[in-house]
Amino acid sequence: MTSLRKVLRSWMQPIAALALAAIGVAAQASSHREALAILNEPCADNTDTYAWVQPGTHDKLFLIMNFNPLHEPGQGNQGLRACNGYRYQFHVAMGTSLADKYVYRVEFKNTLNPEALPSPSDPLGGGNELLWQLTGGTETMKVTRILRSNRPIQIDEMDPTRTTVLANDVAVLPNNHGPQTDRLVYGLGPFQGYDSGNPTSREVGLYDQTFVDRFIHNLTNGGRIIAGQFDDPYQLDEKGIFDLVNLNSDDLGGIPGARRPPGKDVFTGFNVFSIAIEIPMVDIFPTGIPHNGTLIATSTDSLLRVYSTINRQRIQTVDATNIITGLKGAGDWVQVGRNALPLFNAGLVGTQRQTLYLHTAPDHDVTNFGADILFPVLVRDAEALGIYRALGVPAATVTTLKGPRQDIITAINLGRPIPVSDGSTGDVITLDAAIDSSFPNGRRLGGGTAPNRNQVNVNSVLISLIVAGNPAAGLAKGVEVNDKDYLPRFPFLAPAHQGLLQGHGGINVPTVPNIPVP
Amino acid sequence: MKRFLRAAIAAAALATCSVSAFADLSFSGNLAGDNDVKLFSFALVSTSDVTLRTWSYAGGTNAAGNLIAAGGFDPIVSLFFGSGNPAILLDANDDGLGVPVDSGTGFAYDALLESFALPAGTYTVALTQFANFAIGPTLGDGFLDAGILDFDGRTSAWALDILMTGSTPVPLPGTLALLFSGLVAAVATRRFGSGVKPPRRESP
Repeated sequence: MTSLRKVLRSWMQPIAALALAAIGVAAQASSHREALAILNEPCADNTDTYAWVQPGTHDKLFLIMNFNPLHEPGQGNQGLRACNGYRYQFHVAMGTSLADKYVYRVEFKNTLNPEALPSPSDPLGGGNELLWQLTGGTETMKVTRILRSNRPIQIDEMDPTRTTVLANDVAVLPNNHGPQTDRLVYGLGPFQGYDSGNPTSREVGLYDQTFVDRFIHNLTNGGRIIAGQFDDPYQLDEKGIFDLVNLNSDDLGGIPGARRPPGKDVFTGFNVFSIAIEIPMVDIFPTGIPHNGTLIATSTDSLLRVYSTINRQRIQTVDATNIITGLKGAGDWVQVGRNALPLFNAGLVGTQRQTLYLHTAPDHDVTNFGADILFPVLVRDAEALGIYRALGVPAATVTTLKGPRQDIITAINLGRPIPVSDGSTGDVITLDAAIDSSFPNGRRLGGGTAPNRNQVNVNSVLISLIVAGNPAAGLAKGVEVNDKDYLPRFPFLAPAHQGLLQGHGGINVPTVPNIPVP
Repeated sequence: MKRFLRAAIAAAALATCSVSAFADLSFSGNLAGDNDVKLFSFALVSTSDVTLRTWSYAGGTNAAGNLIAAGGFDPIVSLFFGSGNPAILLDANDDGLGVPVDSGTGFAYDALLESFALPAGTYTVALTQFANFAIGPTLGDGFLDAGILDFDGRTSAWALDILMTGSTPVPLPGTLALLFSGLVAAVATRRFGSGVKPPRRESP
């Protein structure tokens, strides 16, 4: 019997304790294109949210959201650009409440000044060029902090005592196109043309961390921000997951009926749009974090409840005069994207409610999605696929796993005395600001045992928790390392894959068969 | 002449409905044209939940116990904080979740907008036909004038409930009618007086 199968024998141990102790099983999970409504709107497709405190001192809160995923680094005239007309928001609630206490909002603005029609003497650059980086177009962002009252946010937005612009017109990190752009557009080194006989300017990239760091901007509250194209930091063997949870045998304790390994990360080589913000903790706890440095397992006063949303105006009409989006927005601002805990919408919420999830706030999650959590469909699917029988899991245990699963709720609430009711329990990342973060107490990017490892493999923790009732069961470990090293300091994200030499591509010789050979 | 008629229709349509002191308010009537806007106002004396609900598309029994016939146009409700041009657009709804299905069309197009924990203050509700949405961010920014031609073959009838819990609504002051007359004049002038639509705000 494999060690995993031994672990599975002990399913349904006290879950809260296990969830809190699920450290050392390392990676992560996300929500790439998980809902029908998001398929048509990549700018609103937020894939992952991270929130954690500076280890040791806890004097900074790090917030990261990723969206607009699966960008092939070398693809497209315009690369991966900031989405205009959207509001990207981090929501921070406190204690047992899910009501916003602070909202950190980022809005992007791209400008492209039209020029005269082409002529033989038309100088290079400008809107007649084919590629964004040659147009002279700019990408900037505005960062706003809104101290929320119990009034609708629109009222707080109009209140100068509650709404503070932390940065305005600061530059977005540009794309990592390749060596020629590095030299001719970013000015990172001398350029030699084709006629030089030297291919260096076409083969050797100069887009490095030093360049990326130039786009980290200070905020007026003492924090920092960067936004733009980065490596997608998420990894998971999704080669078979969407083939009806077709996991490889390494994910299932070596059972002979599973497909053969290895697992492969489908996000390898893809970029994503990311926003990373560093918030001074005094911004949130002006008088200090309660009992900072001390874990009080029954406390809620030092808890932060974090989630991210993407919003746009309700009405979008076609507008040919808008060079950037081709649209004109009108009406109230509506939420069209949401993310917090990894795998929540993708792995728990049924298809017919996944769009509702994107369009609603977590303060009604108990009503809207309580049954999805209490009675996880993944368990029923796993039973139908024969996974439990293959592992020798007793029928009585499977019955227990089918629910009601209060243990899942206890785990995401960190075992704290948080009411299981609307307004208190929902899909948020709960973190105790008084202690170091470690999923499910927050979610940290990187921080693992190697530069390309995350602190915790949240994929494995969550799927194990849901399917096995034990976050340490070791299911669905998949690929546990990223294809690029994380940065050990802000913004933690790895620079984007280069369009020229990274990402994907093939010579297409020989062709591949219609039915692959296992 | 056509412009004059449109202005006249708009002015008539923007006339406000009366406001009562009852916790649940029910109104019904007819739009005068595809882009007509009906405005309603109420005040909350303390934090309250407010539900706006229409009945005229699929029909049903409203809060007053009156049977509302199906067959009306596809309605939109928009909620503003405050009154007059500066009122701030808070939220809007076109097709509410869980509203009844019209047996004739098979669509559930009535509006249902639930707003929780609204603070004390004055609010304005706008009822329009799809797709005559409020432009925002204020009431003074007007509406899209994009109502479907001839009510899409349905009637001009509407029925609206304004339901409040947790607070006793209070009648608005007697100057309300004057205030809204001002709004009517302002909006009518902005839209039609010059013959040019006011510039709309760009999305950020």
